[in-house]
Amino acid sequence: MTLSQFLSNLYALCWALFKYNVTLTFLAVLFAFPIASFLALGRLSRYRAVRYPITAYINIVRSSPLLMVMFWTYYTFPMLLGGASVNVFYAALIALTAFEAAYFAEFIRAGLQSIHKDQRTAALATGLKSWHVSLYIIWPQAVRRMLPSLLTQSIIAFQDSTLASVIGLREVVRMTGIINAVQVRPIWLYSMLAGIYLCLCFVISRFVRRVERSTVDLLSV
Amino acid sequence: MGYEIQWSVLWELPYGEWILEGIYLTYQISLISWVFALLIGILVGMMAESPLKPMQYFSTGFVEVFRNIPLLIQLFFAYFVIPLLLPLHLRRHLYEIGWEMGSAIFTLSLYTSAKVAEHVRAGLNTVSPGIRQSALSTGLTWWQMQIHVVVPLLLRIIVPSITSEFLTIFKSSSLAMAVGVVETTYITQRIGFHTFRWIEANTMGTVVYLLTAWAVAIFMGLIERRVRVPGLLQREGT
Amino acid sequence: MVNTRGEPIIEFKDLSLWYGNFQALADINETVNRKDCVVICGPSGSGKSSLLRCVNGLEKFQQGDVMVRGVSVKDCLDLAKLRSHVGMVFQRFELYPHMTCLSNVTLALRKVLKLSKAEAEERAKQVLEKFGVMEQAHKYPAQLSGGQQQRIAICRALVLEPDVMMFDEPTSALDPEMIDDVLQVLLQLVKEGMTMLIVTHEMLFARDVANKIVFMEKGRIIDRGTTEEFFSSSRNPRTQAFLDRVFREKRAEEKRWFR
Repeated sequence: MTLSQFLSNLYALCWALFKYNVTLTFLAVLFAFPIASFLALGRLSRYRAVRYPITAYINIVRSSPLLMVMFWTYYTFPMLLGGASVNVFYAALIALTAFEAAYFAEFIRAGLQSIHKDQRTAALATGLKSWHVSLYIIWPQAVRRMLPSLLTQSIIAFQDSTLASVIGLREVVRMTGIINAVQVRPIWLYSMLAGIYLCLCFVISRFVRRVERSTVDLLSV
Repeated sequence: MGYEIQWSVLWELPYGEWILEGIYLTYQISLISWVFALLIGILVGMMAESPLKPMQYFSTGFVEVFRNIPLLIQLFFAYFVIPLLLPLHLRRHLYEIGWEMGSAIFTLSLYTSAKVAEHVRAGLNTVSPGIRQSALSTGLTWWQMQIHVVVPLLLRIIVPSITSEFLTIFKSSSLAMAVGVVETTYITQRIGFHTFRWIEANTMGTVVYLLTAWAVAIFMGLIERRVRVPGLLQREGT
Repeated sequence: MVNTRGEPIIEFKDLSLWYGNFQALADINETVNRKDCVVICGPSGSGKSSLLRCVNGLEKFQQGDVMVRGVSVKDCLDLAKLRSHVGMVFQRFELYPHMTCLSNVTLALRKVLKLSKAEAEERAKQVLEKFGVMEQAHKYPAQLSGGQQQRIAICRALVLEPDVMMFDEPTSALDPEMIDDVLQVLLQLVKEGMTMLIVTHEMLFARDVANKIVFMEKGRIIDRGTTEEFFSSSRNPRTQAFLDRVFREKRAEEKRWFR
């Protein structure tokens, strides 16, 4: 592979990476967090009518492979709704969002439950209203506790975005296959693909670890 | 909508057969990879204990490489690239034995072993240095201490965390369809394409994974109960 | 003059230890003779625990040497063998949580002294019987109280019939009710003629049991003497300040308690 080929391939791969994988991950995480918060609260609800279906959803999604969820959103649901063809990107996005929301929901739930009950009791005793307490006292602490897990899960989501290639999205893995079909240099191309992800994820996870360390110090109460 | 659910599709031939074959392959890939993952993962994780620096670096490097590269990319790398790196007679051999399955098991084993190694390293950190010191102070050699004190303790400590890895391995086996293995996820889509009974097919697939997850959770729970030592609590700092 | 009762078991010769740039021990010179009961006391961080760990090679020192029964620890080829002659008891007991108490005690007998399972259990049971913890033999450490765990830990070290027993603050992690139980065990060992090296804060106990006291601060020995010398006629101002503080705290505690 000549240098110019290498560079143009690298550019093409990074372009696909940012256009699809990064965007997919970013949007999925963005939407998943509020949905997951809602799910987490539902999971902790007093009412069985709320708790059971939500717990069922979380458990079913968490037991399923992401690939199956993508097949649900890309092939199955569109067929039900009249057989329209769906945009691959949106199908992948919905699948990834729904998938990550279930995982996020568990982390959020764990974070909320890790705050000692007495925090709420003490706050209420000073006369604060219930939603005040949730917003200003419980959630800020809980978010700091769940942050490392959420960030780690986001990195996993970034890696999982590559699965969209199986349903046909022209993201970075697909792009590699396309370039390979023309240039037939699998060793180079797949090594580049692996290398890009290795460097990116390594750097990001180092960063996350530093965040982890600083939040742990904050919480040595 | 006009869509009637017809479950009988699932056990009509040949679809019923397909489903069973798919489940068989899913379990085959997952269980074989799991065994390798445990053996390799515990070995690599324990290397972090070693006083030899190169071993520590290898352990860290191994974990970082397999953790940061997505499983799908590792799978394609194994499937496309590895045969090309081997001399011709070995390459032919690989294709003969079915490199689709082979690469899937190879990749999944290494990927999961890196995760297991991580849990092992975390577990080793939980074993307080005082216990190692007290073992050595009674005259046990370094190896004796590892074998009789550290490893038994470590294995008990990591049971909860490797349960999640065991669950994940079944889900990750679905990626094998990307290189052509006819496992459960692939089968659901194949049935869907053939019969247009997408809901039944996908539900069946989801149910299979759900029941598997349930079974694994129960199984690992039993193990955890058996090896639990009364009052074994992780010490949070000292 | 220090009262010597027998040949030297442990000799510290110009021992110095650094953790990176921090000097934990500086020029330690001291001898522990057979049947001695030497108590090491001093403020936290003075290097007392590090000193003990240098004796059986758990801590690698950079300068000087420690001789155990004439064998140099620095040049020792078989540390495991040396350690089987030096018993050590830790502040937090450090029993193996996944084994029964009996197994805790017999492990070294089987693996180091190569005794058979039956012989090992025989010996272990004798020692456990002697210190009143035989009933706990088949329980797991976490099911026992702190005092019982520490007694098991003492048995674990004692059963190898070492030449010297070292104790690193053996009662510091115990609830007050149990401290006495463990101190009684130590007293019994001294009466039976075991050579002991004890790091402790229990100065009243030290006064009763020790024949030599060593006072350490910031990695150095700054005062030493026989028990009488140390407690009544030491001229070192730091020693006096230390003893003052220890006894003042004891008196304050009594005052509070008996209000």
